Parts: sequence; structure tokens; C-alpha cells
Amino acid sequence: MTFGDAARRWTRHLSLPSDVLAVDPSGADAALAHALHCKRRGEPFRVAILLADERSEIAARLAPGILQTQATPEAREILLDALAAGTLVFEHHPMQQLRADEPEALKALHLIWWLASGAVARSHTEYARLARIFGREHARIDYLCGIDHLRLAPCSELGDRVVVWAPDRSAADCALIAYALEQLHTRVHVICADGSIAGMQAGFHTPLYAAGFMSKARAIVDASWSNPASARALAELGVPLAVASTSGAHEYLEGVTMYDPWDRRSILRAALAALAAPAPQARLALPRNVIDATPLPLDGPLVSVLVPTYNRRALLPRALESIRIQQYRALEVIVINDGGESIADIVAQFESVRCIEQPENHARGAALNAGLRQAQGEYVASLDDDDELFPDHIARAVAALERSRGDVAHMNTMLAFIDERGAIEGVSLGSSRALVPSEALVSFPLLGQFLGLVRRSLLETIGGFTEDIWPGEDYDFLLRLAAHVPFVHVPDLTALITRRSDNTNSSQRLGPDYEAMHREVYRRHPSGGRSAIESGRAVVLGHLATHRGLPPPACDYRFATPLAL
Amino acid sequence: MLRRAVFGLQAAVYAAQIPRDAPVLIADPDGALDALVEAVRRRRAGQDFAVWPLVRDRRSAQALDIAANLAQRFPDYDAQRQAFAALADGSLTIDGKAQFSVTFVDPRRLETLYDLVRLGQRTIAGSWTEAARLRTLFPEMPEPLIVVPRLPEALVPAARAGNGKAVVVWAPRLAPRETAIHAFALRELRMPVTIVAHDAAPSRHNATYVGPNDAAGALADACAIVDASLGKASTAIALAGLGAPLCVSSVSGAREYLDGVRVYDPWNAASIFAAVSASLGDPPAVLRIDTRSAPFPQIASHDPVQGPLVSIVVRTRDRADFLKRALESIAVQRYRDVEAIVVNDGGVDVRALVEHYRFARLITLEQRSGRTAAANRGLHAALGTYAGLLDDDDIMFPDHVGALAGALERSGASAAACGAISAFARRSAEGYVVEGYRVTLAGHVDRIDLHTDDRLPPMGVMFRRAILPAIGDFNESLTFAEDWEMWLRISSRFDVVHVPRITAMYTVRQGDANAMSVPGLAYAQTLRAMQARYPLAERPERERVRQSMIETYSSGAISAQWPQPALTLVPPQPLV
Repeated sequence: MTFGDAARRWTRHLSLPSDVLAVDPSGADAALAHALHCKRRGEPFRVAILLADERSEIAARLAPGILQTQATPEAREILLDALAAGTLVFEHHPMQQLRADEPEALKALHLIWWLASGAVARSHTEYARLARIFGREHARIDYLCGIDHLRLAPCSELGDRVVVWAPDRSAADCALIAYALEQLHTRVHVICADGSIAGMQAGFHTPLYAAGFMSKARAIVDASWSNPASARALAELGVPLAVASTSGAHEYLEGVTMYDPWDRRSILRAALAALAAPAPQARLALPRNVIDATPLPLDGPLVSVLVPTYNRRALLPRALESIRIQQYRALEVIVINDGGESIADIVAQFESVRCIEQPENHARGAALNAGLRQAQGEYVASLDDDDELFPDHIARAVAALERSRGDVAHMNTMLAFIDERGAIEGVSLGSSRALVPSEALVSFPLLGQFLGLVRRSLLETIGGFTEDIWPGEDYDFLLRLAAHVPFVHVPDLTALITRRSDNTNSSQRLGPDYEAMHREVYRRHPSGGRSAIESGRAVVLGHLATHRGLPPPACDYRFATPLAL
Repeated sequence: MLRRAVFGLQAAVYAAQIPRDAPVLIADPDGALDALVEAVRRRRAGQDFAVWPLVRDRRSAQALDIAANLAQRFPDYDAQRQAFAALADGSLTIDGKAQFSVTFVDPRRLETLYDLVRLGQRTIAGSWTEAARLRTLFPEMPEPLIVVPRLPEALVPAARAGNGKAVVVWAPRLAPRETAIHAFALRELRMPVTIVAHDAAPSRHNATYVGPNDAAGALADACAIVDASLGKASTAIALAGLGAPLCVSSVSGAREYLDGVRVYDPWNAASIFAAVSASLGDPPAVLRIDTRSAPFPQIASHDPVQGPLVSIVVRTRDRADFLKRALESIAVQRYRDVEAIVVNDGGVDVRALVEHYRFARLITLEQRSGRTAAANRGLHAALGTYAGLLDDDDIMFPDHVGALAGALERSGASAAACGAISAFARRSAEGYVVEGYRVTLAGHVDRIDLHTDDRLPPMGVMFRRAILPAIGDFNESLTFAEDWEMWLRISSRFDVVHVPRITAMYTVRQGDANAMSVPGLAYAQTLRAMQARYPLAERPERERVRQSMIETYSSGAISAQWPQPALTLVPPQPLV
């Protein structure tokens, strides 16, 4: 599972485990579609995101312009020093605001990072960077880094030149390094993919001629800012080596000098130190990977899944199918037809699915309680007829509650935006945070329905689902649960909530009632005199009064081609 | 005596992770000065050692301090929530001061710690996370050596965590009020929280505070454990053995050793809440590496001990006691092929002293000819492949010649430079005493910078003697900073490769003829000579800087320009 050029380059000499999805920004769209596909089919995957270090990339892109446009060395140096310090302003944009990658691609990578069950990184340095960017820590991280394949013989003796190794990059990308090394009297040769820069002292050469230049190297500057693989290969040549501090190469190699790729002084200093240094050596202790992660339980206490439905014959089979393919086996499924047209033929297609017919259409809560009365399971889950569980949903929730002996688990969800033809045109991260009770007292914290697992004995204690208001029964129910017990949060995305553009989502249809609903829920769950909650509630009510509904969730990422639902 | 040494209370806590016989100096900011003195002593004695600087993560340490105040300052829960949220995103101001301008450690102690780190052969870190953090504080620290935390924290009892009902915050080194951010974060958890702090304290809200003596019971009842250590992985590794789900801080590096832990940012209460909510349903963490079997690595030097002859020119006049010290430092060089040429510049007779050293030759100038002429006389008499200077009041550490000769041999370069630590000395009734140490001459060579700023210690440059005909002698019209002018000449033709180590000690003496205290006029004269010979036509800004330096020094106000030691030794120590 490899998406994008950089990912393909990385995996070329690497035997990647089959559950690893390697992706770089150029392959993000296809990779997200594939990641979603895997997730819906219940094939867990670990993600390796190859994202170049942003600060280094921006410096590499700004440096050639500075070097070309500024006439005097002093003007160049002032700007390059500002670049190093991060205080440069480029065409009225402070450089901290500049982005090296397409924002769309980053959004897709963000969603993949969240969909993945674990992460694979090339170094601790890289993992720490990615976790910071994407705002989620994986409980399972593995480390994998290949060695670039070099057709170069180890140097028998030191040569007389400094070689900058950048066979995958353009000459312009190496301009800052070449400029920093102009201070050297030693000849500098840059091995880069293409081109050269007029007026620079360094020689620029294509990788075709690399062997000749490398055999005469006295020191090598590895211009790879995000990948330790090339440095590991270069270390075998027996020539002193300077590596980027962002590459993580120093985790694998002993005796390398480090430079910050955005700082010309640090580049020069590292080169001068490399000239005086012995050749690097491989470190002995590399991060060891844990072979078997704790498997998810596939059997255990019975779980009752309640599926209320009302006149959505077209959508119901997808919801039931998503339950059928759950990895967790001990399930009973109770469909509650809430007074709508018959669904007996649909239910008959699924094994061990019971159906309860309600004589007339009541509130959703009443339907759920009808199902609850028949439920035998230790735990109770619910699923709306238009939503979909990923195959690991129940297993993860059961694992969390069995381990913690907790009573309620809640999960992260993904939102899918469905177009008129019924295809997924885009996705967003739905709820992704642990539920904080006092925040829930202000507004419904979850996008879509509450999707989680509740111990049945707790449901009986609190008197089942809320029946007497609708809509808002799920909000009230959530607050009643939160008032009693702590929530265990399972920070995996385990369900797909659909938003349709044909206006059949309840929140959009019932805008006017929302204000009254909130007033009712607020009345039932008083703020306890907390002024922040009161004022938060006033803001929500004000918004509902003006806009006659809650703002619909925005679609974070739109696919290039809509995916089949 | 090659062994572990510990400086400061924080350092003492982590001492057990380093074997007793490993040559490591462990120091926290409070112990930095004592450690620096010991480091200088060891370097002079030729003992290699590594340094483990214990500095807490800046942001976490700030948060710890600030959080304790927030909890007291805002009795209203919602106001507290707002303040903690501002603390997390860095937008908090306290009494009109932005959160990030709050200092968490005395900058002078941090500076001293940096000097200590640079004296070491390697920098110890407990994880790559810690190493990366140290590098942001100490950009030119020696290469990190990752020491796998081996011994479990002595304070963690060997209890088996059951499937209890309370979340345990493990903070036995913090006062109860210092756990404010954890207590606040978990207040809405709807679960009992037990905080194991330094002392017991009255319960507040859902938190019970117990002292370390009651920790065993608390841990046995844990359904999840939050490790409150800010900087080190070892506590988390010990806690992982208890069998409960574990939350660790993002700056501790624990996730490098443990699989299946939840990670939180110690400055962000919401992230603590999120980590705990998630960890409740987790299996126990798994150790990635067998931390018991890792041997302690060698801190070995790769310098050659023999090779081409190296000539050291020692200029002296009327300072026999200092000269003895300088020659002694050459005598103990690990590199064996060294000759010293002592040039007595018309001073008292030192023949007896010099004859005592077999590697030394004496050139006696009948008349005072000046430091520069003396250096040239010495160089002309030198026989070595490589040559360098050592003034009579400075010393080399025993690895100095080996480090520079090794660099020149390996690289084939014409000149190599290293750094020196300065000893700030003052004359007293008992002779010279040292009032402090500081690395002021780190040995950087940037050709352009060298025009306005000399970071090369006089003994820090070694060059191939064969380049002398091309370069020329020291400029005898200069009475001061002649070495600087020489390095400028060398660097304009050759690369001066850099050995990023501190291998010598430069003496700054108050009130004596020495670089740091020459009258400003002489300095101004030198700068003028350099300005005439090496104009900076393409860099008018820099030329202006140099011009203003010349004007400042012409007025004689020089002493204020030189850096002082960050921390002063009380009482001072004898220099010789």
C-alpha cells in the first residue's frame, strides 16, 4: 500500500509489512480513499506518512530567491540570517505562516493519521514531528528505516572535496547549502537531480556522475532533511558525514555532525567539523519493535445492538451489513421498525436479526426502549439506520469496558458527505475528543448520534433511553449518563456517520424545534449556578434563535472522485 | 578517579541510573557551578567523561509553576478552566507578563550548565526525546549518548496494580500544590483520583493526596496511572511493570521504550484528561527493550597518541610559576610526539625550569622584543610538521594536541581549530585566584565573522608548518591580537577545520598584560591594521560595526566589552 512518489522511492528497497500504508502528500487523495476502504472492510493498517520537515522545505524554497534577487552579499546574509531565525517576512507574509505542502493534501493525511490503528516512522525525530502536526498520539508505534541503495564503492582514502548529496532534489533546493559552503576553500560539488545555479561557486552534477565525485570526497553533506535512509547508506562509504538535525539520521549513526537545514552558519559549522571528524559508525542500539500487539477480543459477553428505523428501506441494509461484518461475534441485533413501512424482507436477509414492530411512529427513544426491553446482552449498542459501524467498533468498545470495568465507552467517528447519486464526496473528522461533562452541559459534544457501548445494568438503573422529548433525546440521554459515571474514551475512528445533501438529516429538517429542545434539555440539567455554563448556553440559544438550527458540519476534505458508498 | 559524580538534588535522583564506575557527571542547574569546577579538574587530569545535564522541559516546568498559582488565584471553577485553557495554548498572561517570558531556571545557571556540557566528551540523555530537547538548549553539545534507563525508580513499590477504581497520579517528588494541573484536569472525570505526592494533604474535590509511604495501597487500587515526571523515562518504565494502563508525558521520552502508553502534554490539562479517558480501556503498557541487559557504553577517545611532530611555541617573560604550569600541561599530553620551544622574551632566567622538560628547548632573547617577535622566533626554530602556540599563562588539557593533530592528519587540512574555556583570575594576597569559568572562545571559524569577532583562542589553532612561507610570519607591527590577524590570514587562503571540543584553558587575568586587559588603544590599533589589510568592501554594515569598535576601544573603555563568568566561585580557587 504505497501512495505517492516519495513513498514509492522509500519503499523501493524496503520490504514493507503488508499492513503498512505508506503515503506522501502527492498520494494523499488516493491513500485516504484506500484507508477508508480498509477501515470499512475491517483491515486495520499502520500508517507511515512521509512528510518533509516544513521549516527545512520553506528555507530551501525561499533561499534561491534571496540569493538571486539580492545584489550584495550583505543583503543576502541579513535575509538568510532572518530566515534562520524564523523572522523573515516574505511578500508581506511572516514565514511562520508559509506552508510547504498543499493544505488539501495535509487534511487528507490528517484523516489517514486518525484512521490508522498504529504508526510507522523512520525515527523518533520523525514520529514526534508528525504527532505534533496531526494532533494525535498512537498507542502503537513501530520504527522502520531502510538504507538507500547506493552503487558506490567505499572510499579507500579521503579526497579533496566536499560533496553535497541530494540526488533526489533540484539544484535550487540545495542553494542554501551551496551558499553556506562558499566560505570553504575546499571545492564543493553538489550531486542533484537536475539543473545548476548560475553564479555559484559550487559545481552541480547529475547523479550519473556521482561515483566519480564521491570517490574523491573528503566530507559529505547529506541534504536529506526528513529521511535517515540516505545518511545510513552514505555512512558506509567511510567518509565523514554531516546530516540534517531533522532527519533522525543521528539516531542510527554515531560520529555524524548535525546541521539545521535553515541556518547557513550551522551548515558551515557542521561542514568544518565534518572535515575534521572521523567517519561515522552505525549505532548498536536501534529501536526494537514489539511483535504482537494485544489482539482485540472476538468473543465475550453478549452485546445487543439496537437499530431503530423508520421508512428508510434503501439505507437500512447498509447499516445491518456493517453489523453483520463486525469482528466481535457475540451479538444480538434488534431492529425496531418504528411504525414505518414493512422491512421484514430486508431483515430476513440477515441471519440472527430480530425485528420488533412498533404499531405507530413514536420518538426514537421509545423505539430504543422497546428494543432494550427485549435485549439480553451485557452491553447495549445502538446504530441509526443511515449510519455505519466500522468492523472493529464493538470489539474495541468491549475490550475497553472489559479492561476498565467501566460502564460507558464512547468512540470517535468520521463524517461522510453523500452526494445526490449516493457516493461519498468528502469526509471530516467527526467527534474525536474525550467527552468533558461540563462542556456537554453547554452543547451536544458529538457530531451525529452517540455511538458507544453502555452496560445494560446502568441503562436499567437510569431508566433507559429518553423517550419524552424528541429531537434531543440523545442529548438528554448523554447528559443523564454523564451525570452518573465516567466515560471511557476509545480514541479510534470506529463509525461512519453520513450527511446527505438531499436534506433528509433530522437536524436540517427540524431546525425550528432545536431551540425549544435545548431549552428543555437545559431545564432538565441545570448548570448548578456555574456562570460559564449559563453564558455558554445563552450563546447557543441565541445562535439557534437567529439561525433556526445548528450550523451543519463542514466537509474537511473532498475526494477528487467520489467514492462508492 | 573515573567515576560517577552527582551535583544537585535533582541530579541525585537520577544517579542510580548510571553505574557507579561510569565516568559521568550528573548535574542540575543548582549543581552546575560545582560540576563545572570538577569538570575542569578532570579535564586537566586527562579524564574523559560524559555529562548528563538535568534540565526540565521549559514549557512543562513553567506550567508546573503557573498551574499551582492558577488553582489558588481562581477559586471559581470556570475561571480556572479558562486560565488552564490559556496556559495550554500559550496565551496566558500573569500580572501583565506573557507566560513565555516567565523564566523557569536562572539563565546564569543554564549558561554554566552549557559550559559544563561542552567540557564533556559526550552528552548523556535518557531518550532521543530528551536529546532533542537538550540540543535546543545547548546547540553545540557533544554527541548524545542514549543511556537506556536500567534501574527501576527506587520509590516505585513492587505492588501489582489491581483492577481498581481510582486513577493514580504518580508525583512523589512534587509537593501537592505542584500537581495542580493534574488535579484540575481529572476533576471532571467522575472518578476518585489518588495523587501520590511528596506529602499527604487534605482531600479536595475528587482528589485524595497521599505521601509516598501510602503509595503501595494507592497503586494496588489503580485503574490507570498518570506518570507526572516531566523529563525522564525511567519512572514510566518502572510504573509500566505494575500492570495498569499508563499515561506518560510527551517530553519524558517514555514512549520510546513503552508500547501502548497514552501520551499527554504536561502543560495542557485537556490533553491529560483525554489521555486518561483513553487509557482507562487500554491493556498494560509493554516494554520495547530489555532495559536490564543494556551495557553502559564506553566513552572512548579516538585521538591518535602518536604521529608527526607537533611544535608548540611558548612565549614567556617573568612568569616562571605560570610557565611551569604551561609546560606541565604539555608534558602530560597523550599525544607523544610534541616539542616545545620556549621563547624567553628578555625576562628572568628560566633555563633550569625548561631543562627539566626533555621535550622543551629554550630560546633566550637578550632584549625584550615583544610577544609577536617572540612568536616568530619560536616558529622559525620549530621542526614539527604542525605548529601551534601556548602562552605561558594558558594551559592545554591532555587531549589537546591529539585532538588537533588527529583532525589535521585525518582531513589533510592546513589548519584546525578547537575551543577553550576561560578562567577568570584575580591577583590576591595568596597569588592568583580563579573567580569563575566560562566558554568564551568556542573556536568557530566563519571567514567573514572573523573580521570583526575573534572566537579562536590563541592556543586553539594548529596549522601545518609548511604553509608558513605562503602565509608569512606573525605581523610584528602588532603588539596585541597578532594571533587573530594571523588566523585571518590563514583562513583567507585555507580552510580552518573545526574540532567542536573544548581542549584548553585560557586565563583572563585582571590587571596584567594579557589579551583581555590590554589598553583599548592597542586593541584599536590592531583593529585598524586589520581594517586596512582586510577591508570588508562588500559588507558596509559590518565595516561600520568594526569602525564603531575601533572608536570605542580608542577611548580606552575596553574592560566593559569582555564577558564575565556567568556564576562566580565563592570562595575563589587558586589558579596555579
